[in-house]
Amino acid sequence: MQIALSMENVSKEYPNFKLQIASLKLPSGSIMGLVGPNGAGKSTLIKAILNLVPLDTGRITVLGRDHLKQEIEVKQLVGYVPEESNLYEEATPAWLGGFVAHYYATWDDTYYRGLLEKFQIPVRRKVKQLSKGGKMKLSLALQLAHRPDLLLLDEPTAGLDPLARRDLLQELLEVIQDEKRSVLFSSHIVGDVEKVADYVTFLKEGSIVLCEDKEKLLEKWRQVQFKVFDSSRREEIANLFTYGKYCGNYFQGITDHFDEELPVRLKELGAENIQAVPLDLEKIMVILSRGGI
Amino acid sequence: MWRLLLKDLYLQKRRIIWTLWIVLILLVAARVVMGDAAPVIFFATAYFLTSIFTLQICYNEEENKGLAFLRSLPLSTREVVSSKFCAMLLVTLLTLAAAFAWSLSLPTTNIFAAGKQETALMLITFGELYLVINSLLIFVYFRWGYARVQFLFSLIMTFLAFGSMSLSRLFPKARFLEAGLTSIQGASTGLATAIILIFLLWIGSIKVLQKKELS
Repeated sequence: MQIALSMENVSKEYPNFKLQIASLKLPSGSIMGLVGPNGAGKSTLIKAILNLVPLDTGRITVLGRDHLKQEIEVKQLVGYVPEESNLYEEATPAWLGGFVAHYYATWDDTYYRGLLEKFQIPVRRKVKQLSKGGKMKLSLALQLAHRPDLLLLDEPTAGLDPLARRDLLQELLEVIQDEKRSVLFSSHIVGDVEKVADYVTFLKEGSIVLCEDKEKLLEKWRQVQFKVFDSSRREEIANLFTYGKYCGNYFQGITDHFDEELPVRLKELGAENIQAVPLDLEKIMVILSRGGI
Repeated sequence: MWRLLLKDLYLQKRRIIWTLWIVLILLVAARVVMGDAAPVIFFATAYFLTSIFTLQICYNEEENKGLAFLRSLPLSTREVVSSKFCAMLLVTLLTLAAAFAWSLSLPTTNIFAAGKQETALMLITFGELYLVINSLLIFVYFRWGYARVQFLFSLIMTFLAFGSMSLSRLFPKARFLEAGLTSIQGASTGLATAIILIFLLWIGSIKVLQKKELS
């Protein structure tokens, strides 16, 4: 399996924050959702890949190329859409396309014009006259038009109203699933990530708390509730769960390793009326953020 | 790099055209009112304009988060920095050439006429000084951002307007200021010093941009 992005022992320290990534790998052709609360380090991590944030320590490679030693080559392979538009406000989409095209060997102008049409962006209108969603779509078109092997999207839906967010996400889904490219997609809106990601990485206070295949993650995390009347077994039962609490004889717990054996074991320990409910990604993230139910 | 330079000129085109119109009107008015003294005003305005252009190209990048955009493209920091220096040098040289051409075209204000060479050399020396000042503004922009550039520019303008008059009083023992060099020697020394300083500021700007964190 080819690795599109690899991060090893990456660290970056600020006065009140430290990004510390022991290891992160994104397989080629897959979409990874990077989630976490505001200030968790998602943007810093993405910017570090392009050397927009110089690291204190660590190594990053993109398709086997070192992000510092082969910086220009890496940037040829990467498309980066930032959280806030950094396009020249006085420029038009047509001019920006012409400007950016000179720096990419793989620039496809027909594809760019097609994307502008698809996103309904007027080619002669100035960037400052576009809506926030329009600027984001233009940014996306500019980055897709050189057909990058790795696409980095930093909170592409942040700050958009629900309608614009839905439209953008829909269009994003169409274009990123259209081709065999790897995508690292950060968002604090977990629902967006759940729709598109193959892998989910959860960042909290600069460190990776969880990094897993989305389907497996949703399969393994369950909310389980049941009644227990035998008070001598209570502690043993609670130890089977990652998080849990009793309310009288009623127990509610969260497990991150659910399998068919767990209900059997619980019954052996005296649990009754066992109900295991799957959790969505958002609930899992809330639990991880709070460190409990 | 040239494409980046053209980008700066393209994005500033409207401001440049408007500024040139206003300057043209002011210069014509200055010549009508001041007559022979007008060339000094031509050059003072030209120098000031070069700094305004330098401020504008820095402000434009800051306002649009342009550095982060450029650094996300497959471009080296050297190209980004060099484009700013080249744009500044090009505009400064073109402005100076225009000011000289203007001056030469009018017989009464020809600063190269006999007895006026001293004025010409003084203006050239001031041109070199402005090249260094503009390079310093670019360096400060790459190192600290536009807010500090504005602050520094205000300080420099205040000093040039008022402080330079008191220079000999501030540094009474600095005799090298009046070391008996001929005007040509002074201008050549100034040129060499300016080239070295601009080179150092260019190298310094590349180094700081490489380590700069871009949001």
